Amino acid sequence: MQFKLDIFVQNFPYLLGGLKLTLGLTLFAMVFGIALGLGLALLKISKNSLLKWIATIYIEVVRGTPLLLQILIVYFVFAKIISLDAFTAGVVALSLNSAAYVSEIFRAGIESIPKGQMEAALSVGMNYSQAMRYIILPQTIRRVLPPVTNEIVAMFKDTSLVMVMGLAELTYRAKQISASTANVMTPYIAAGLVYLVFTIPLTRYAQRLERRFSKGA
Amino acid sequence: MKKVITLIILTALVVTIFTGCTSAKNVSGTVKGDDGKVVAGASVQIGKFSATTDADGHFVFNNVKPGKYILKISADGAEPFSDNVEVTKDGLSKNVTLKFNTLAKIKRSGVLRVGSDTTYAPFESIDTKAGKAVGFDVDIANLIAKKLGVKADIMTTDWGGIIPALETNKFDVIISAMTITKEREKEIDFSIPYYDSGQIIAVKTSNNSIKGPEDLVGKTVGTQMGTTGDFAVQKIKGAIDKTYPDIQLAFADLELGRLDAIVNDFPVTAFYSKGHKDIKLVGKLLTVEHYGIAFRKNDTELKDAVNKILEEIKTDGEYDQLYVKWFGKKPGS
Repeated sequence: MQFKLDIFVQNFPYLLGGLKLTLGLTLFAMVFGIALGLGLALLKISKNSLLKWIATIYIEVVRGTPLLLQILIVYFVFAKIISLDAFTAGVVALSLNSAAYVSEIFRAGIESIPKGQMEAALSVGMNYSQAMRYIILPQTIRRVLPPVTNEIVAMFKDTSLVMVMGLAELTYRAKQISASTANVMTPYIAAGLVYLVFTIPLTRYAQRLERRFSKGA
Repeated sequence: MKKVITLIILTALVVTIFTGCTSAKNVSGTVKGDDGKVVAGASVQIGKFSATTDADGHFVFNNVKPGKYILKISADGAEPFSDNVEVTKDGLSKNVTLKFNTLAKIKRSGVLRVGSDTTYAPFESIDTKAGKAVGFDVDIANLIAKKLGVKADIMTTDWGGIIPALETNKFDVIISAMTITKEREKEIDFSIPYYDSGQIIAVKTSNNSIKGPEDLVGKTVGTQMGTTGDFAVQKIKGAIDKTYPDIQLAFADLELGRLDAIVNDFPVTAFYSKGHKDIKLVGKLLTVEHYGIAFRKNDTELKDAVNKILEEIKTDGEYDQLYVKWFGKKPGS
């Protein structure tokens, strides 16, 4: 039960190998999560009350249940209909989860643009989708960049939960190393350091953006 | 001039024969497996006619008269297919999907997918230098795959979800130091036993008060969740069963003094205590257990094939070789 440098050095390459999965999951979940999240946000602010309801229920259900449970449901319960492999199940669960959070960020971003802008765009002859595309969303994206970056950081860390499916990402590899070396401390500390190498620069970047926008806006 | 006429006549003849043939091929189709791959060499029967599918899974019949027929298709390892069909004057085109059993699917794909919780040395753990699973179970898996004429793919799986993952077809078998129990047999099938094991108590070397299961009353005992060690401690009245997702965490807690003892599979605990002089094994085995390879219910063909292989390697010495390699002695000695 102590930190051993030789165990660290010997097993670090194997640990780092898990980064491919961690980054892959983050990347896919980020792309799908943001796309789906933007769609949900547009549904939620739409005038059609049915669409609004669908989006609201989805967001409440996803945000009101633990991600770990969602992963288990996608992997095991969905399997009655379609048996996904662990990586695909991981991407699906993480995307569906982050979409709910991202959509709320987008919704807040869109609503933060003064209503007058939409009215002005409509009055110069644009239709709703043109006004959204050319006037509202470009400004929204600037505003939501810092919170979305924070969401990406959160997702990057949440990928560790896919280890319940036995996916050998960073945390699970640390667990495997702890089993094969019979040392608990070294691999978990090492994995923590690897996460920090990515999360610290990303959160710093989000903070800088936030400062710049608050000055510039 | 004569040559030209001959050529024209010949061409006309070829065209006639060709078109004649195509119009005669009036019943055709493709046979696929439920794994999505085509089935070559399946026997197809329609009425009195029979044919065999080619390398692309196609079958063709010529000159089948319009009418009602029974179409029967069969292939090795697949559920026989039978259906009433009607051949019209335009013929019939029919694509059929055959349901293969798991053994046939393994042979068709060339891969035996093995689920294993690779945090359990010396049975299964990750060799971090080679980046792959090693251990007694891994060698057994590879040997069985070899005898089936396929390759084993060791798929790392968390213990907590290992049985649901088998049931939802994430892999074909579990080879993961799994004890055959009545409870588990309700969910899954087991092979004949391939390893004899049992539960042992481990305590800190400095602890002289715990000598057997009767001393565990009122004590906090660490186990891995859902293992036979977990079940054994639950049966000891007054013992507090503290479960962990993997056994390494329990060992860490024992060394930190947050546990009084650990109950776990003997070979794994013995392996751990070798590298940790502050932990010792005490008393006799609490249970007699047998490890088995787990299958989905109804995968009888696969189970029979694996049982045959297990019997074979136990008699021809290959099993003993692996046993000595991982446990340093012959079985039963």
